[in-house]
Amino acid sequence: MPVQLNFETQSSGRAETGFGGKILLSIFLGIFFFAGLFFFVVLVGSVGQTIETYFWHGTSASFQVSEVVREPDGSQEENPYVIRVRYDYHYLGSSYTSDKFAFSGGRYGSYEAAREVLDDVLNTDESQCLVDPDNPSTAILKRDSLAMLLFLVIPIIFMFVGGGGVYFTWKKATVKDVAISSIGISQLKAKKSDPRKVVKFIGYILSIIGLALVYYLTGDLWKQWQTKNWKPTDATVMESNYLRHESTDDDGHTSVGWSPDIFYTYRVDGAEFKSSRYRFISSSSSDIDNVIAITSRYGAGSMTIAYVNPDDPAEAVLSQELGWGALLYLIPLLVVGIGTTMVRRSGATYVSSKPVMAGVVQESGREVPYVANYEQREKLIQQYLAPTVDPATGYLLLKPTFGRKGKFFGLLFAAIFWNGIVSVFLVQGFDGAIFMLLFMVPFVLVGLGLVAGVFHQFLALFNPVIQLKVKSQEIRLGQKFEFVWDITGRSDKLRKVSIHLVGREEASYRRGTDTVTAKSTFADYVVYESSGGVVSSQGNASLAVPDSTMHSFNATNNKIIWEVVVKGEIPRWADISDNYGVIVTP
Amino acid sequence: MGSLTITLSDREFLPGDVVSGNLSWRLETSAEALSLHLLWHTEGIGTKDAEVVQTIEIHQAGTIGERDFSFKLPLSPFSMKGTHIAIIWSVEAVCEQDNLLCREDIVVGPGKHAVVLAAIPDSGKAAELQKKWGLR
Repeated sequence: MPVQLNFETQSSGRAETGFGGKILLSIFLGIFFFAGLFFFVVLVGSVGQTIETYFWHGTSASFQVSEVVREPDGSQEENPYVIRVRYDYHYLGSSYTSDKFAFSGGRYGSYEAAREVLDDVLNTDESQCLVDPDNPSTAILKRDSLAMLLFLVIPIIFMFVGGGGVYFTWKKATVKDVAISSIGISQLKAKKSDPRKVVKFIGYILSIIGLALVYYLTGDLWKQWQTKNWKPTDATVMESNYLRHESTDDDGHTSVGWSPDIFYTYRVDGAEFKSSRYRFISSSSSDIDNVIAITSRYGAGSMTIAYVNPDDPAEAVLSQELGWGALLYLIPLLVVGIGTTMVRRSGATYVSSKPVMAGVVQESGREVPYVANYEQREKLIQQYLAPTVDPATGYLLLKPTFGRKGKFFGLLFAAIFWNGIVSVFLVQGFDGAIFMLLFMVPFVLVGLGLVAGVFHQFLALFNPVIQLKVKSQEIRLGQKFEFVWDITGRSDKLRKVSIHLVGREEASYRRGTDTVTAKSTFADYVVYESSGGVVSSQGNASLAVPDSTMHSFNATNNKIIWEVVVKGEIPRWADISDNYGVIVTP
Repeated sequence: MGSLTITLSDREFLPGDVVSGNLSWRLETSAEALSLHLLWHTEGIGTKDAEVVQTIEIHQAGTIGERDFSFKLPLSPFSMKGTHIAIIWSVEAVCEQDNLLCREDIVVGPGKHAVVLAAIPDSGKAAELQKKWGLR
C-alpha cells in the first residue's frame, strides 16, 4: 500500500508570512476567539438557569386566573400579548401563591401563539407547577426551552476558527502547493484546503437551509390558500393597532417594520373565540401607510367579517388574500437551487491512495477486469455472480439506464410542484399590475415546458417495449456480442427499429465555477436495423466487437462508456429511445 | 544533488505481463525509505485521474544503492490515446526526504500497443433533429 507522504518542496511563489504579519493575524484571530468565548460564557449562564429548573419539584397548582391579555392597551409593543396567571400551591406543608408563568418570555406577537402555549399547560392531566426547593416561594408553570443550547455551536465555531487560526499561524508549515509536474503522481492527494470542497460544503448547507425554509414556510402558504374555502362569520373588532418591529444591522443602522395587530372576537355554534390573526402570510411592511390603511378598515368596536376554519373554529383570518408578500416564499426555492447547483458543480480532483488490483472472483475463477472504481467493480461482480436472468431463455436481461416510468414520475412531480406554486399567484391575480405579470412569464413558460414534457413522457409509457437479452454475462473485446430482443406491446406501430453499440469518451473539467463534460463518440456499430418499414417482434443479432478498441473505463473525471442504444420510430407519436449501459471487458 | 534512475527490461507490455527493472539511487543524505510505484494516470482535456496500483517500499536505503523490482500488471486499463483522454502507465520512484522523483512511462495493451481511438461524426440527438428538419 502506498504511503501518504508529506514533504518539503519548492514553493509555488507564496511568501512565508513575516513575524509582523503573524502578530497582526494573531490579534485578529484572537478577537474571534475571545468574542466566541465571551458569548459562550453568557449563553451557558442564561441556559444554566433553565437547566436548574429541571431539578425543581413538581406540585399541584389550582388556578385563580389563567388568560391571555393584550397589554399595554393600544401600544405598538412588538409582542403585546401576555399570558396572565395566578395560582396557589402547597410545598412541604406551607401554602404559596405565584403569578409567574415562566422565567423568560411570556410575551407573544399574536393572541393565537400565546393561547397555544397556555393551553398546553392547562390541558395536562394534572396541572403542576415547578417549585424551587431552595426558595419555595418561587414557582413557575413552564420551563424555558433548552433550544438555546444549540446556539452554543456558534461561539464554539468562533473559538475554533480563532484558536485554530492562531495555532496554524505559528505552526511551521510542512506542505506547500507545488505544480503537479514537479511532484510524483503517486504523491497527489486530496487537498484539504481545496476551495471547491468549501464550495460543496456551503452548497450542502444552503440546500439544507432552503429545504428547511420550504418545509417551514410552505405550511403558511398552503394555509392561506385554503382560507378561500373558510366560512365567512360576523366578527367584532376589540382593538385595532399596528406593531412596530425594530432590527439593527452590523453597521448600527436601525430598520423599522410595521404590521397590523387587529384583535377580534367571533362566535361559532354559540361559543366565543378570539383571534389576532390578520392572515397566515406575513403582513409586515416598512411602509407604515400600508399598514395604517389596513387597520383603518377595522376600527375598534366595528363589525367585520372573519373567515373561520370549518374544521377548527379556533382558527380564523380577516384576509384571504395572498398579496405581494407571498412572492417571498419563493426565495427558499432559489436557495435550494443555488445550494444544489453548488454541490453539483463543485467537484474536486483527487488521487486514490488505495491500490486497486483487479481481484479474482473465486466463485467463477476469473479475474474481474479493472474498471477504476469500487462501485463499478461491485456492479460488475454482481453481474457475474447474480445477473437478472430471463427464466424462459436463461438470457441476461439488460435494463435501461433511465426507465420510462421513472422519467414520467420524475417529470410529473417536478411539474406539479412547480406549477402548483406558480398557479397560486396567477389565480390570485395582481390587480392589473403589469410588472407582476411580466415577472411571472418565465415561471409560466418553465411550467408549460414541464407539462409538455409530462405529456410526451406519458405517451412514451404506452410505447412498445423492446426488451434486450444478452447471451453471455459480459461483452469481451474481440468476441461476439450476441443478443435477442422481444418487442411487447403494439409492435405494429413501429416503423423502424435500430440497435447500435456505441462507445464514447467523456472527459470532465472545470471552467470557472462550472463543470463541463466533453464527449466524443469513437465507436458506433450497427447491431440491427430494420428495413422496408417492417419490424419483427422478435429477433436475434450478433456483433463481433473489435479487439482493437477500448474496454469500459470509469474514473472520477474521465470515462470510456459503452451503451446499447435502441431507437424506434413511431409516426405521430413519441419515439422510443432507450439506452442500456453495458460493460465491455478486456 | 541526488538522483534516482529507473532502468526497465522493456517498455511495451501485454496486460498481465510482469514489469521488471532496476532502481538505482545516489542521495545527498541517507534515506530511511524510498518508494516505487506502478500507476496509471490520465492526460487530456479532462481533470487528471490517477491510481497507484502497486507499491514497493525500500527501507534503510542509505545514500547509494540499487535494487531490482518487478510488478505484475493487471489486465486493465489499456494504455490509450483518444480525442479527449489518454491513459498512461508509469513506473515512478520517489525519495521523500530529498524531494527526488523519477518516472518512466510504459505501454500496456493488446499487441503491446496503446489503443488509439478516433472520433466519428456525431450521430446524436442534435444531428437527428437537424436531419429531420432538413438542416443537414
